[in-house]
Amino acid sequence: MIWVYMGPRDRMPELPQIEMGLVPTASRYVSKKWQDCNWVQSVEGALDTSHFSFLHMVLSKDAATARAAMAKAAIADQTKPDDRIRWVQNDPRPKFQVMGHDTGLVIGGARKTDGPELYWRISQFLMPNHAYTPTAFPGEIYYGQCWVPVDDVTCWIYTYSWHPDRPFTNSERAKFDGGFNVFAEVDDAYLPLRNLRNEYLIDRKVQKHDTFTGITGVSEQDAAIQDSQGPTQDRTREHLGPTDIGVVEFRKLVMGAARALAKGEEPRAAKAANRYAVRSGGWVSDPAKDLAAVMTERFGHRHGYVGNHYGLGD
Amino acid sequence: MLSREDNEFLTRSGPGSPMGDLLRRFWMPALLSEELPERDGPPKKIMILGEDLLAFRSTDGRIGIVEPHCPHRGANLYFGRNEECGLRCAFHGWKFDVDGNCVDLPTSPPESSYRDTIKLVAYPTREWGDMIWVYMGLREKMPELPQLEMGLVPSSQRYVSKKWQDCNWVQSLEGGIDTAHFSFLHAVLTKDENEARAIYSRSAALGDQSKPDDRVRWIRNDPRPKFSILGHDAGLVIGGARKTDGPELYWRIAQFLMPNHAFAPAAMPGEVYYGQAWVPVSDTSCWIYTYSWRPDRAFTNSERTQFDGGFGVHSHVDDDYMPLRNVRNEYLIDRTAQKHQSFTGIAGVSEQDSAIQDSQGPIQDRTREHLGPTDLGIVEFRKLVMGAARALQQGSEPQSTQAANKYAVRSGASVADPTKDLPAVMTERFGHRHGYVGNEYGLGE
Repeated sequence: MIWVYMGPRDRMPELPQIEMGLVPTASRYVSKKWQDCNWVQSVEGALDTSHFSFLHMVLSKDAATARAAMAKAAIADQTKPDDRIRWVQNDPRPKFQVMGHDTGLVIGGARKTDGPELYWRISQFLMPNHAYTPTAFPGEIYYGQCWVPVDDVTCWIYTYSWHPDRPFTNSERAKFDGGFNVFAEVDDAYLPLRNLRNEYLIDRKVQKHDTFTGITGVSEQDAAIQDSQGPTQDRTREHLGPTDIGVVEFRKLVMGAARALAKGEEPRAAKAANRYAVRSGGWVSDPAKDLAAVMTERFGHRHGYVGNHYGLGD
Repeated sequence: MLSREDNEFLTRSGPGSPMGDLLRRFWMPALLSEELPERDGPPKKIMILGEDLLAFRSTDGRIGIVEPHCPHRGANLYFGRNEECGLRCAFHGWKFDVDGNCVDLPTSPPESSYRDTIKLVAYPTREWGDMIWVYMGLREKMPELPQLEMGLVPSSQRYVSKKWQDCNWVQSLEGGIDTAHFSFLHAVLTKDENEARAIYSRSAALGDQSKPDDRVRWIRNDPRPKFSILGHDAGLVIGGARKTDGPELYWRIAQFLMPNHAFAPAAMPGEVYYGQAWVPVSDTSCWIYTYSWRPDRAFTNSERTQFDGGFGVHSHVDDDYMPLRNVRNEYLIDRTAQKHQSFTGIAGVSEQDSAIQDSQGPIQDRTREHLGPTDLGIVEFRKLVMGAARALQQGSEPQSTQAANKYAVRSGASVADPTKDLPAVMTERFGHRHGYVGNEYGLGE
């Protein structure tokens, strides 16, 4: 990617050391997609992981059929069949916990499983405009997105995935090229083929019988619902609830930082470039464990920090 | 001529505008029934009076017309699921019935009462006369549906359609009640009566012309009809009298019905009646609902086919009710035809009307107009609706909302003794000075 810094020269920070830029090129895939709405509601859609129980859901209760329908990766790669689809389907009220750290927020949502354990889906928000998806089990692919406002009613979303362990195969790259997980199926100008102007090619028959939206692609389902909130969502009319805690904490963080900056106080994340080297993902864990403990169990660090693997310090 | 302020007052109908408040005291056609053909089918995006809305037909057949954005995070319910008597948001599954009640809120615990505090704006709806009607005003002021005759006759005797128009609704309605323009806008150039009749018979501007008569010539020869206006509970009778070959007068009498209906003036006894209702979409576009009916018999298939292809007030429209000849293609004006055959070179009475009305500008600038004696109907229409809108601002409700039955009127044409005034002509033609026929449908005298 080509990065730009548009602020005062004497405040220019280091590049954020996100892991996708630390791994070899072979282990990374990047793309971008156009979005027809304000960047904030689109970030909020990504931080709100409770919508997976609806927006990305398939209607079939038959596990094999559902898995096939979700092959485009709303709920992990599903190369090895597992129970995550059912857990997400069955619990629309994940319990949220949020932890702040130097560069952002860890946002965890815990769903019931078949036993006493909890199924955690944990995302990262990284200041001021990155978010990582909550899905990856160990050994699976990590995904992140970065929202760059074009103007107040459009944005580019830079989408990236990486594998810390190995290069992507050609067939994986081909899969990403065709739209997969956060990657939209885009044309040569990075405009999603299914977009606002063609109503995301919604198929009402498919919506009736197969999937919750009738729209193909997780990224396109997200775009449809986020654009539909209006060019800039009218938040004077919203009604937030317990599953929106991630959204609330995100707003507190960025609005607080913007207010502080207006009073001359620099954002602390700008001084913590190395602390962007984090991961997010899924985990099944003892119900007695809180988010910090679950993160430590999953990633070896309460904030998912992996910079030590890349010589960025502990 | 109107002041700039009065022109704004007359033409603006968005939320909070005085004319918008007046229009919101009446039932508005929102859709044709055929636009929501199936239960649990896809919801339809509509805009009425500047308000973005969503319409859907529920599992039980009822119609919901609601605000499109989910109260949770503002996602558009258009992408939602219409199922099991409600519309479910695709984002987090919040579900609403046709009355706007939140009937499921899966992101809150089942025992939570949060659901009861959530309400989606929903307007009352009715399905009547093959149309879906909506009432967008104060609930406690909701009137009865206007008892238009087209809705009182059996379905087989009625034909309804709609057409898009690219201008403010008021100038279009003013075109509908100004019957003086028939001597020009809809005129044919040929002096050969058979040829003229043949051209007119494709348009119904001057009655069905199934029996040749002299109306074509009378209209052509008298461009200055004398106007008389009669007010009544539901609107105005607007009569224009033209000279005939003898001492009698040829009356063409339209009805304006509050706040946005007008009936055409052409029907002689035994002919088809036509009406239109103008429903503002924004201040610079509207849907015109077009309807025709016969009190005495069913429409034949060939009559319906004729309407389908554009006839009388019915425009020739595509599957989205967009006229095939419209502002974007200059109504396919044919300058050769204009030179030799018809006054405009545009095919179709409805299309001639829309061309000239759109051409007045997105909103006609009435500070620059010059009205004369043949514009009397327009003047009286403005007095009535602007007066009613001003009265409403001062707390006085429009009288026509209390007179739903009085909408059962007819309009049409008659040839009458020159000593008879408009009430006498109406009585002779319809048996009632205001053309009231509600008594034939048990609506009282």
